[in-house]
Amino acid sequence: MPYEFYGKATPYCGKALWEILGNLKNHGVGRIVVRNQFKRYPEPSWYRILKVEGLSPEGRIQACPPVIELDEVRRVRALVDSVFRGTYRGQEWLAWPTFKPDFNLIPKEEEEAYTKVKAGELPKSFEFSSILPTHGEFPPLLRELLIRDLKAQGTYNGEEPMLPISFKNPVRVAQEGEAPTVRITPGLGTPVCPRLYDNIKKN
Amino acid sequence: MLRSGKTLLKKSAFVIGLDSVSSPQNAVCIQPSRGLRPRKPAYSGIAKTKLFRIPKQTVHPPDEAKEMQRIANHYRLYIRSISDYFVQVNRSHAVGSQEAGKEVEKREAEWQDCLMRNKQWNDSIALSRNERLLKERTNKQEEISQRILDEAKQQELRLQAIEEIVRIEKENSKSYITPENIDQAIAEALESKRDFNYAIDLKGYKFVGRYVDATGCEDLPDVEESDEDSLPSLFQSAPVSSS
Repeated sequence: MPYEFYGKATPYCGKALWEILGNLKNHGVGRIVVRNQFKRYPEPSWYRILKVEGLSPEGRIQACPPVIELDEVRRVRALVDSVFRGTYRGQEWLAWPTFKPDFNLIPKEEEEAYTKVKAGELPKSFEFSSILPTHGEFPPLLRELLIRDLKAQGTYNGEEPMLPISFKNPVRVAQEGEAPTVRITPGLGTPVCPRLYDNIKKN
Repeated sequence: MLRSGKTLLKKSAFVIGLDSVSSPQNAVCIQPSRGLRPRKPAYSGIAKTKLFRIPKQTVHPPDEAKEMQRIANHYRLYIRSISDYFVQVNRSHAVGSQEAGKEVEKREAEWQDCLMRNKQWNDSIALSRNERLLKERTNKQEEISQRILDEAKQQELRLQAIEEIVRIEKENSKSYITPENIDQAIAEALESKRDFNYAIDLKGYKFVGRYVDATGCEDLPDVEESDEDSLPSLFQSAPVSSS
């Protein structure tokens, strides 16, 4: 009888990391493991295993009787060469996501085809594509209000008030004496998909 | 009760007199508790009609998805930046005001007072602690010297006991059987007969149990053969098991 799945589709597909590494010689050191979730990007994302360690329960709060959570048992600590979206992101310790049943092992003969680099090599390191400014323009109405306030205080010297941008993700921000390559403005910007704006009439 | 909250509040506002103060267009906030809308409890699970429903996931064309992502990112970046900016401005206003300055001074004074009192407390405790530690140290030294003396005394006693044992052993060793006098010892043992086959009653009389004549030779009576079945069960031979 064929199975029929219903409900929300799971984003995970594969095994937990230890389920793969525990069955390999030398705990899979040198092998290539991928996260299924990262397969949605066109560039390959993968990990090369460098070292594998068990996780001891000593660091955790001890209860009596000891509570052994399934996720904790499934977890392992692995030092990996991390490649995300085709660029090398340095070595990192994988520990937290290792319980997720989302890891797939790449067979040895398919490694070069998958990673698109020669065996034992790494792709080029990640670099930020653009240098971002520390300040952006205010939205038009807010800008007018601020200028009005400054004028009322008598401190307006004709300079444009600038909004300090608070970035959340790690980005390359322009240092002193460095010119940013992009401007941050409140407008629509350059659309990726211009056909969505074809019917807009501009006066 | 919750559904009637609005009317109740209206009534209470009327009783207080707020109704007459404020116009109906600009009335007091009579919005009932929004977060307490009666709902199904979480433990009731998924409704039967919704149990096997497969929610359809919207799939956008890749370029449209990318565009939406870009616009959303830009929007979030701007909103975060503007709210942070206003927080900063508000904070600087608050810091600059006179009341805020007073509050800061008050807190600082309180903190300094706390620090001073803590220091005083620490000093007084340190004084008593040093006294106690000195006392403990001298006590410990005395105890250690006493224990050394006791140990020496014990060692002396132990040596004496050992010497006593050695002396007794030396005395005893005179009667030991050695390779030199083994033949003599055997001859002596063969010569001296001992008969341990006797009983002693409560008064200490010795009854020699063996049949011996005046010369010391055995003189056993004739054995009377008796039927085994007539003997008490203790003296009967064990029954042979069938298995």
